[in-house]
Amino acid sequence: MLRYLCKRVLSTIPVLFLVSIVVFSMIHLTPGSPARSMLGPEATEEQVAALEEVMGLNDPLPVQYVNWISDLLHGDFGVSVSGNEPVLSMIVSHMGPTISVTVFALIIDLLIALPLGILAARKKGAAADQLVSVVSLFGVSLPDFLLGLLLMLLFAVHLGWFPSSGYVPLSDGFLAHIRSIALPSIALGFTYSALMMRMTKTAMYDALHKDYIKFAKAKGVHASGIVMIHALKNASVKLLTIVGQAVVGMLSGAAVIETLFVIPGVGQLIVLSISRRDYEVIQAIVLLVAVINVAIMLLVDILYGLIDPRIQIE
Amino acid sequence: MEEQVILDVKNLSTTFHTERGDYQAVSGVSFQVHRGEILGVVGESGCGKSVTSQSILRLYDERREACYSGEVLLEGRDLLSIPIKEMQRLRGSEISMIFQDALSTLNPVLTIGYQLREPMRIHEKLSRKEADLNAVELLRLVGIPEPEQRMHQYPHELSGGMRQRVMIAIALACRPKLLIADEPTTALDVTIQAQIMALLLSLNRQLHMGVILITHDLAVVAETCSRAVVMYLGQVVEEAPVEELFRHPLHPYTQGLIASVPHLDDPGKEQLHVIPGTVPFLEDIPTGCRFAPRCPYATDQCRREMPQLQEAGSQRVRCWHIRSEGGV
Amino acid sequence: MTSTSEKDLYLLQKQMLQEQRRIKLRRLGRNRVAVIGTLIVLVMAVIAIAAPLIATHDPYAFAVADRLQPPSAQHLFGTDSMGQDVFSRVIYGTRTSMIVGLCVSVSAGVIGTLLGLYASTSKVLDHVLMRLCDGLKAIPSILFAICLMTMLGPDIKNVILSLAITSIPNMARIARSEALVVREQTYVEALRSTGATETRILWLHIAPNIISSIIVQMTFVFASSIIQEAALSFLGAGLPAGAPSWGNILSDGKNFIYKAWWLIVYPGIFTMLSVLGFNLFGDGLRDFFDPTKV
Repeated sequence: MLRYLCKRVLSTIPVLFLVSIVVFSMIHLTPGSPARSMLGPEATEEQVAALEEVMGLNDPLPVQYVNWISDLLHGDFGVSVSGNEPVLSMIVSHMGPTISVTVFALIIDLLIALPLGILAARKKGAAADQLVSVVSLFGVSLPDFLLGLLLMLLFAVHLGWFPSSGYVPLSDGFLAHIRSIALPSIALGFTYSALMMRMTKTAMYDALHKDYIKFAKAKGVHASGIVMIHALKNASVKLLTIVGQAVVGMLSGAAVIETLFVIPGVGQLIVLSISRRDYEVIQAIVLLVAVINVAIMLLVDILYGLIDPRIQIE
Repeated sequence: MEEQVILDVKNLSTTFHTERGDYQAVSGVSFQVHRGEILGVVGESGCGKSVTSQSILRLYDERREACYSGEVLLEGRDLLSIPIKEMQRLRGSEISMIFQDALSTLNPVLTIGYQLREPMRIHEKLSRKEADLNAVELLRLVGIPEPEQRMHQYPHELSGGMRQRVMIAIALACRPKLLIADEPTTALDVTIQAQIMALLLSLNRQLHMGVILITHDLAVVAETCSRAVVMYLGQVVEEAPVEELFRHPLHPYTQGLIASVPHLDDPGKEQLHVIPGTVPFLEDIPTGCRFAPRCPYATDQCRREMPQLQEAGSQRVRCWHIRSEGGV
Repeated sequence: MTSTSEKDLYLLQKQMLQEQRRIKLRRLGRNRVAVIGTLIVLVMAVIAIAAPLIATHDPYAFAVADRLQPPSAQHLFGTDSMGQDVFSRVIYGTRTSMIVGLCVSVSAGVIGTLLGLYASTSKVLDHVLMRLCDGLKAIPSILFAICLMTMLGPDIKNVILSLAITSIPNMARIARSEALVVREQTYVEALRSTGATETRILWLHIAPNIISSIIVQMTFVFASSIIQEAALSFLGAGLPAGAPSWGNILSDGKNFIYKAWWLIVYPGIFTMLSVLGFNLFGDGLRDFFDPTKV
């Protein structure tokens, strides 16, 4: 297990290196100077040149890259251009709402997808299965921000059950907090539940038709034990990957959803930074999400090894 | 003294619902299993052996997959008419089943220990500790070295023979009265096959349980069973004590099966006997005797009318030629 | 003996015919969904091409006096906050979405296939390209696109470029794995032994075999490009603010959600229908190309 773990952790290093290269070149290889795009079209050439000098943009690219990386490794993500605030502390202060929405959306995702997916797998071809196919097809075709808009129109504007925008932190009361993140979480959760439902259905269907299920039945294990222990534990190896993808998808989907519902999270921060042309912040967030993505994939692989003992052998 | 009958299968039929319509995989099968005996069920693949055995445990989903008719009496109680909850209670405690390939039959992500404890915890409501103690005992009983260590291992960490032993131990956990073994040695090497069969024989004697041994291997039947049932296309075509069956097979199909076993002591016979044709698909079942299309002795009557099982000494056979000519 | 084996053959043939009929029927049943998808795709294509004929107004013409009018005979889908005709803007928005979807899926398809095919020819190239894809895939595509758009500026060409860059890694990966499967086939071995050149094998024998998977994947890229373009424009990082795009109309609708539901519902229906159409079309194509996966 330890060897598997080490090997897997080491394998993330080249990926992280590549991610940093990609993010760096995104900023530095695109046409136009970042200083120019930050200052806007009204700035004079002298102003742009001065800022370029300050930002070290005149150094050769490899030097810039090395400086950037060594700063990052020292925890220095730079200073935001507009706020004059350290980028890292800006991101940290916007983290809470994003985590809240993501966790809540993930719960909704699983609450919809797991029971329906399992039901569809157990009764393949029946009405429940057809319903799941239709729901997941619509879920896949309905972008999260569009669903969010429609939910807002119906539940906030017309019915008035939920606030249409704004965020109440957990410290101001649990219920108010839940109410404020309900619609964005449902929008994100439902969108990802479509894929999750499909995967649950196929994974559970495969597992339920294995010989070990027949044997468990012949041992006298009741239906709930068969589904929840014998089949689900086998299917969960496949489901974990999808959960991991969903978490990353929700984190990046937060950009649109948080902007829509005016939730002061990391997603809103990145979109605000677009209009401020604050490329230091954008760069840092993209890098951060990519690192989280790599970390989640690593975690999923480690959990694989814990759930399915056969994996360590390979 | 008449031996005690533990399982009495009377006129069992199993019909599957498929997209192509219903078809009967087992039609009107009857046989008995006595306490302490090993009954062989023989036939080519597709003859309904496995479906029969899984129907006894009602393993097919009755709402979606299949429906059963007839009676399966376990010590006088009809398993086909009791509620499914009650059936679940009997599975693994009164009747157990083992399958062909232990690697796919054991759950890959659960430890041997968990899978061994499971039936005891469900049926005997044992605590984890008690079940653990029993489980180690069981592993010892089926001849597994270092049973304490095995408890924490996963199926893929054991050898094929060991896995087969573990599966047998799980099936025996609650000391069932009847064990159904569905091709228990087919997937194993020849040497391990012999070990597993020896184990089954000794357990059968020690625990005095009835065993239904399903196999396509006549040699296994000859070595281990006291009686055997020959099945063809979902029907019993012959039932006889094993010595009778081999010495004097009555049904042309049984004769064909026995003739197609190679004999070491008969080197003169160079060409193996082959039963012509193959088992037809279930939707193309002939109207008369089901074996008629492949039978060398088939007459018009055979092709027209279905023969019934009839007594012929200690044997029972389903063939028109028995009455008319006293055997073929 | 001969008569029995003939009968067996006959039975086998009968069985196979029944099986084939059953599969065809089932595919027809599934195809009903694919037909709906194809119809939606065709309708969207017609709208995109014939937008000037269908639109009732100039999509850019604004009349501040007529702002935020509800749907009426004059303005089928109402007007937006600038008094522009929403129906005409949705119709021209269809054109935008179809152009983006087409350009992204074709460019990602072509470049991805090239990369995947050549990756399958050499171990070193394969390693380099696939690690690069890993790195690109680690960055969630919408963030990647947002980031690129910030640097490039709002413009339809930049939207296409950004979305193509984020779609290529996946496409290359699919092309590569399909190409590797074909490469394993015995007939490719046989070709090599007859002295066929690597280029010939690659283009005459491997490429035609992976093209169906690539086309299927392209329809899914098309669908997701529609979503991504709408999302980018919605955020103000897609098309320029005045350009007709479903995302831009939705963004306007968000600002006036209490006053003008029509700014959300109509472009919303168009977005959803077109994405659904391309997804169904893709599913149908997959079944068509590979009936074994039914």
